[in-house]
Amino acid sequence: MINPDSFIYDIVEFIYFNCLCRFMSWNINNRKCLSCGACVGVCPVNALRLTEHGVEVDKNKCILCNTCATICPVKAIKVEK
Amino acid sequence: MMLKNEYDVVIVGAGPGGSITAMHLAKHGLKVALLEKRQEIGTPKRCGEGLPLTATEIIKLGVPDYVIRQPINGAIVYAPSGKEVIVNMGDLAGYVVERKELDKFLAYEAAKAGAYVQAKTEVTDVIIENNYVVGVKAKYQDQEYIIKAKVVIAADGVESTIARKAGLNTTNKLIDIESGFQFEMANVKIRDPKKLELFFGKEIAGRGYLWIFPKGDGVANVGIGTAMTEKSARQLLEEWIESRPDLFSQASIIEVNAGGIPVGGLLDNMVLNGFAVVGDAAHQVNAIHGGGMHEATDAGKLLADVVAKAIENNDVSQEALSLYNKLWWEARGNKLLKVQKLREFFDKLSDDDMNMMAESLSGDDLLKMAKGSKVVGLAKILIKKPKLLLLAKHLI
Repeated sequence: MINPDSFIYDIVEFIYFNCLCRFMSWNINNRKCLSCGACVGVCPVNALRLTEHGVEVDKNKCILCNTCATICPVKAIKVEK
Repeated sequence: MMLKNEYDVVIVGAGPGGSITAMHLAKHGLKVALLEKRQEIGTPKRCGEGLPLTATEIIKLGVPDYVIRQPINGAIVYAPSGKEVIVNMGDLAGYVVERKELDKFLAYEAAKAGAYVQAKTEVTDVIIENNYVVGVKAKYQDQEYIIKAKVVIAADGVESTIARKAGLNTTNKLIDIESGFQFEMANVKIRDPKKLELFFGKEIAGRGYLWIFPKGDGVANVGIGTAMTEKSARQLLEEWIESRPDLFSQASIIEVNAGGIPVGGLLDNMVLNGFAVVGDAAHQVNAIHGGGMHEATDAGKLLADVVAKAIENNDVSQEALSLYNKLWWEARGNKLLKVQKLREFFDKLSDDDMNMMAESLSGDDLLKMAKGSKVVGLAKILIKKPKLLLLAKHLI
């Protein structure tokens, strides 16, 4: 593993968030979503919010880690790479 | 609107934990606001709807008839092989309730005690000054509020966003949460209307279980809580219903619900300066059966007493409120930790292991295990299977 304090880590992080991320996105199917909030509780960066119409993602916070998609009881969330 | 801009305590979330906490705080003579994001308290439900008599904080309020759907006297537990263990729990062990009505009933009780309850009011953020939580920002329709409070209590359920905004890490780890999916069904073939039915098996339910909780007259809450499976909870439940025409061939779906169930990750610290967390938001759930109403309401009572005392003494620091940590861990935490260890042990069992345990354990033994008590015969059974003994060494 790369040491998080090192310069190389910064470069890798930069490439990940500025280049690779652009090819990835999440996709929430609001027809499937039952607004149960399970995804909100597991999001490690608190990027999700439960509204009356389903789940909203704060795209500035989301790190595309797929945790929400794993927990979703109805598989309404897909993180596409 | 009647919502004021200053209270002694603001509670976020009007589930059982929030309502019971609000009720007790109001009974202590404090000014309390109980805010619920949803437009109707209790809806949508995220619950199997089993209420045990041991949930004394709810039971002693005198649960009205319109909340109770079906008195329960025990359970039938099915091992993966189909072998059943019948758990008899006396004349009355609890009820299957109409959870929406129960949540409303508890909110009525909080209101009757003097708390101000308001639905459709979302708390969007907490206000922090000098390291103290001193209030919340809230939204009702198009109106925005800034509400000051000496103490803010997060009872916002499995999402637990308020605690995280206040600076307490309550994020659920994937290993410590289950996906729940549930139908209310009518015209289900129910074996014994007074028994809960639980079905285990890696194939059908992963590490969790499927349930049929009867609600009287052929109606039942049919659901699954599971985790770490390829298939979604929904897919597992639908496939299982399909595979059991003996139970469901004539059944209809009246309601569809989903939810996340915390089954671990108990918090050592549940308070900050001017802040506390209770219920699902603090992962206070029995990890074996996933029931949370009992835990949330017991904790709510403890918390209310601690907060009332702290406000009376004019000291709502983390240190003063941490009495809640101590009292809760003594009363419930250590028991729940044992139950969680047991759940981790069950996770590692194969279907064969479970079948064998079903052969050797009685209903009483299962009941004791779910409550976190020691089972006398367990060592004897385990000794026959060295592999299990190895897994179970931290239990005995």
